[in-house]
Amino acid sequence: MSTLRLHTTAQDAASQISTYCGEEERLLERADRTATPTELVLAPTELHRRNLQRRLRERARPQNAFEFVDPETVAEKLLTAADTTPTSLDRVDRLALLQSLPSEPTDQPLGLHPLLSTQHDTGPQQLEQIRVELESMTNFHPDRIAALRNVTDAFAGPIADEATTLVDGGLAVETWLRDRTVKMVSKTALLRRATRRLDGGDGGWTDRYPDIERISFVGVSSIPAPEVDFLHGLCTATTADIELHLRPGTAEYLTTRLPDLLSIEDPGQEVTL
Amino acid sequence: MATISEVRDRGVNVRDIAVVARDLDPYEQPLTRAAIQYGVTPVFWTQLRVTRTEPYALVKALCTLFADGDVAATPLLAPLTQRWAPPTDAAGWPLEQSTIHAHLEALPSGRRSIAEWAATIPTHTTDERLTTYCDWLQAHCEPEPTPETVGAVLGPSIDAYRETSVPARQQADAPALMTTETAARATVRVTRLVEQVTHKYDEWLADGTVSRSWDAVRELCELLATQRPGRREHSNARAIDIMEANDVWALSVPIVIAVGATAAEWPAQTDSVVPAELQEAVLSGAGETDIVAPRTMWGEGRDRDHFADAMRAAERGVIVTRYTQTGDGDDVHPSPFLASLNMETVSGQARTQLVSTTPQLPPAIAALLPASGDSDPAPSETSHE
Repeated sequence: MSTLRLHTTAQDAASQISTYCGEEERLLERADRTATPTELVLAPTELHRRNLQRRLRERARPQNAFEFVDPETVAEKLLTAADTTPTSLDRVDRLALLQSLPSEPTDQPLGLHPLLSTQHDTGPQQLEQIRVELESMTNFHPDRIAALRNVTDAFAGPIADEATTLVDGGLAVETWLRDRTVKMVSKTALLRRATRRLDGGDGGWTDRYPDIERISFVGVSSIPAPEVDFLHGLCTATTADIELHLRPGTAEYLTTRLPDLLSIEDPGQEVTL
Repeated sequence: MATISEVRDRGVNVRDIAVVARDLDPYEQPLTRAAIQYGVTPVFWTQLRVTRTEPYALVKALCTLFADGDVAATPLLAPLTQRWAPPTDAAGWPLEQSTIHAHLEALPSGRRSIAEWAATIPTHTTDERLTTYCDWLQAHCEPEPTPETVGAVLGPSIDAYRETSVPARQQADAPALMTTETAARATVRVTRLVEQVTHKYDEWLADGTVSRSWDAVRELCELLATQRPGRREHSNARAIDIMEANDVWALSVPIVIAVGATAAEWPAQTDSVVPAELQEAVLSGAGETDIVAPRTMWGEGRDRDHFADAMRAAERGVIVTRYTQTGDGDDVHPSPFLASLNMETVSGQARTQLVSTTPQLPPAIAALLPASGDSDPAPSETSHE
């Protein structure tokens, strides 16, 4: 199994990040008795956290050097240090709001017209999926949205239309939801807000995580834009070592793509909606 | 399952085996049947289809009954059919299905309010349990329920189901304890569901999304129950873990059995709303799209990860099974991922022997077991049985 170090030219956001593939052993060996956790283990999949904990238990190793958590929870804690506790809609809330979209075309948001008129079966769940996929690709960052629009323009007519419908539709769904709630639209929006805070300085890090020396992002099979930007923010705000534990089928590919994904300016920034 | 049964008979702890599929949905039922046949208790680390379970049906029957107001005898007794039991003094509960049937026969037709039924029932039956039930209904019948009322109706009903009805099932259960296992898992899920429903109902009342009604509560139950929940382990030390490949990451177990290693399943297409051309552009990162995050599920990458990590989880060996024909007789090709493995194939004769009345473990699989002293065995492939 190889250890790959990233090289970036633009800026060294990535110099803090090293990638590993199939080397969970590194992490398990760091199990030590400490008064407070010194390593954040970010696992987007809940069972992965438990698998690591099970391995530690089987070896009778202490778990207190680690704080096992998902990225959204870290974002929530960072924001709580600064404001009152942020709240967000969950998927059920979003589906309920989307259910209340007006049926008359004249009352519908413009961006949704093509989606709702050409595909008559576009229900709340599909609208939500479009929003989620667009967010996963772009984190609603203006540069990424612009890049998507540019590549879309190069496609043949019907495909270009379909792709444009998707980009406009995803943004329109996000806007529609934002206009209908005082809460954040999703946990991912919390991640974005925390990213902006981190990018602008300390972002509550020292306050909330004074003893964390290392951040390990584990079980990664895909790195959605919101996570990329959050990692970027962590690189800016902290001196912690960041380990990315990739998996055999995608490690090489993701390692190649990561520097460009991290090259974006102002991570966490959102396109004007 | 024949393999597991034989391996277990050779002294291997079932906790040292994990069965892995790309997607458990199509495997849950066939593996359950096979497990029962071979006396193995399976634990599926997957979403329980909670809407098809008895405690969920109980919650739904209660909401429907309270929402409808005037009801016929069948919906009136529907919660009893789903094994409702009173919060206290539950000796003699839940009612037998045959008893409920007899009561339904005896009760008059037509719709009545709960209060009218409470007055009518004693004139048709002497079963005091029905009086207890009707008294409870009357005490909780509130057309515009507050979140507290919802909690007070659904919470204790599920508690009573757990305390009374699950143990009652256990006494009359099949050998593998599957019904009890399912009922117990379902109860845990529905208990959480009731907490979530009460909380969300409170929130939605406060911001005006819904107004007070049992219909709103019932819809909320459906909405929350069909969400993909966080997965949970149901601890059962004598049971075999059956998991989805993604969930195996970082685990380490002596023997992994990977099922369904066919070209159709490994890799499989994942639904996406993104047009294929755009997927390709973003995957290749051509031009400006190098800053747009690709989803590895668009290509084979994610499935390749899951497969590779399922293989890596095995300490001693992997047994890969696949089927070669569909139910309709169409040929099914092996997964291309198998090409990267150094495998030993179990012969047709050895497979037949394995599932015969005098089962014998194929030598290639026997070689994986500790007694052989083989510390670095090659993975073996056997065909699906």
